[in-house]
Amino acid sequence: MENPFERYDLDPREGIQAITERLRELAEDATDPAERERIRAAWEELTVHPARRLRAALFAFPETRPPLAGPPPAVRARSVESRPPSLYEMAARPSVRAALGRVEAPLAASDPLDDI
Amino acid sequence: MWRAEDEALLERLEDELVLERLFAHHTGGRRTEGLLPARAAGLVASARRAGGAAHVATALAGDVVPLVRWLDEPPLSARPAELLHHLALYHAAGARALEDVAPDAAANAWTRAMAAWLALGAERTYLAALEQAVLGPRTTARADKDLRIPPERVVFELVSDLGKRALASARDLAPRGRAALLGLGWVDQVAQLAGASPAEARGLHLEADRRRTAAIDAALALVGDALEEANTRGALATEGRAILERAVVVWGWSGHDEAVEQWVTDQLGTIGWELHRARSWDALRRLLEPFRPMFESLAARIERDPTKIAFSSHCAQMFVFLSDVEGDHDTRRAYAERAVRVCPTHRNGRLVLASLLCDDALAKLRSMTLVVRRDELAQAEALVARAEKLYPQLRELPEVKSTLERVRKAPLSI
Repeated sequence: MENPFERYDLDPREGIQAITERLRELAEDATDPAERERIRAAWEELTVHPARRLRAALFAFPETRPPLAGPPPAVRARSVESRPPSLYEMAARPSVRAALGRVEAPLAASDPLDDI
Repeated sequence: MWRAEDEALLERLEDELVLERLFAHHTGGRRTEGLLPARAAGLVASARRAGGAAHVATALAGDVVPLVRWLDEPPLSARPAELLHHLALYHAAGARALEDVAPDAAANAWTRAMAAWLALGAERTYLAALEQAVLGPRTTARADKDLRIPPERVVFELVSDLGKRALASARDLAPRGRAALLGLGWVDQVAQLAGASPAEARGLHLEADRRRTAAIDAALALVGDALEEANTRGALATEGRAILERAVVVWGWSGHDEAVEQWVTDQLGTIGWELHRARSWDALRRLLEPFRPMFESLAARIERDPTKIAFSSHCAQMFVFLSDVEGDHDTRRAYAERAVRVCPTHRNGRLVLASLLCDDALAKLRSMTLVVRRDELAQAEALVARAEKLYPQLRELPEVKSTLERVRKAPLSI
């Protein structure tokens, strides 16, 4: 049998209560009856037989990896909802047109940009 | 923004990568998947904290060898306890991955696992604290005694496991049994690698020997039962060789264990004498042939350590048998010389050697009927003197001595 401390990521030093709590959570989340049965067997192995618990603890890799904190903060959601850009948004701004070297004429009433 | 948490996550991922490379190095390219749990990567984190950060960085860049060497550096007792715990389990996982295909490499890994447990047990506080945390406060001293494993005895859990592995393979002589037996046989290296005290080394030695002996006895018992059965049917002389040949396989499986050599010489003695009495020289020659490397090995052990006197007589008898069935005179004498070297008081060995020395002396003396060569005469005299010293009651001696006297009186000498 695979070492239950490793399989279910349990810390042997935390005691029976913590083991029971964690395995109960896992059993509640499990959808497969066979997996639930395996969790129950692991719980029995670790809590009913102290000698077996000790042996499993001795032969489980200790947790010495750097502890993980939460994930990076989520990127703030955009205030406007996502939609295709309009023609107005796609058209170059006067300042951009100037930067591109187009001769800037005074805005005429017929300038199509005015209608957008 | 790069946070401390991001650094920790990156370190974990890098540790997993280094562990993958380390395991591939030790196991001939195997992946860790299914063989090591995710938290085994803590080995690399522990190594980094224990002063191996530079070697971890080199391993991350692609060269894992400096890290391997650093981890293997004796004495392991100088390492922090959590790293030793990792190493003990890591090497055991490597051994399990290799035991069915590369038993010698697996035995090497078992050796390292035992060394790490031995060093960890000697440190005591880490394992005692772990046991305390796992079992909690016990109510009675008796319950405590039943459950707790003294830290210095935790290594015996692995020794016991290896003993069971070897015992389970005693019938089919599977490679994993050989790996376990070799590992149990290399406990001197274990103690050296761990930096163990002589008392710790002695305790481990006794336990490992006990487990080895049990497994080898079980393997030989199967051969012994078959021999017994053949003996009951009166077929020992005819079937003995075929049955005993399995002992050669047991010998290889056990890593050329001395107990197998002793057992085989004992058994061969019984069958050998039966063939000897029947003067079945060809059958005796065929019987002995597959076991010659075993005789050589046992003789070398006895010559190295004269306290191994208990089996010197059995071993010497094998060389006497070999001398008896050999056709070439020089080889016959070499075997007889070996018999006497292995067991200087062996009656048959002395008798056969004395007889061969007389043959040599006679051959020299007969070539000197007219002219005596003084140097050859001296050699013949020395041969006769040695033969007489070895076996004064030798039947050929009077004849050789009288020939010697006659030659001494020869008129011409050069």
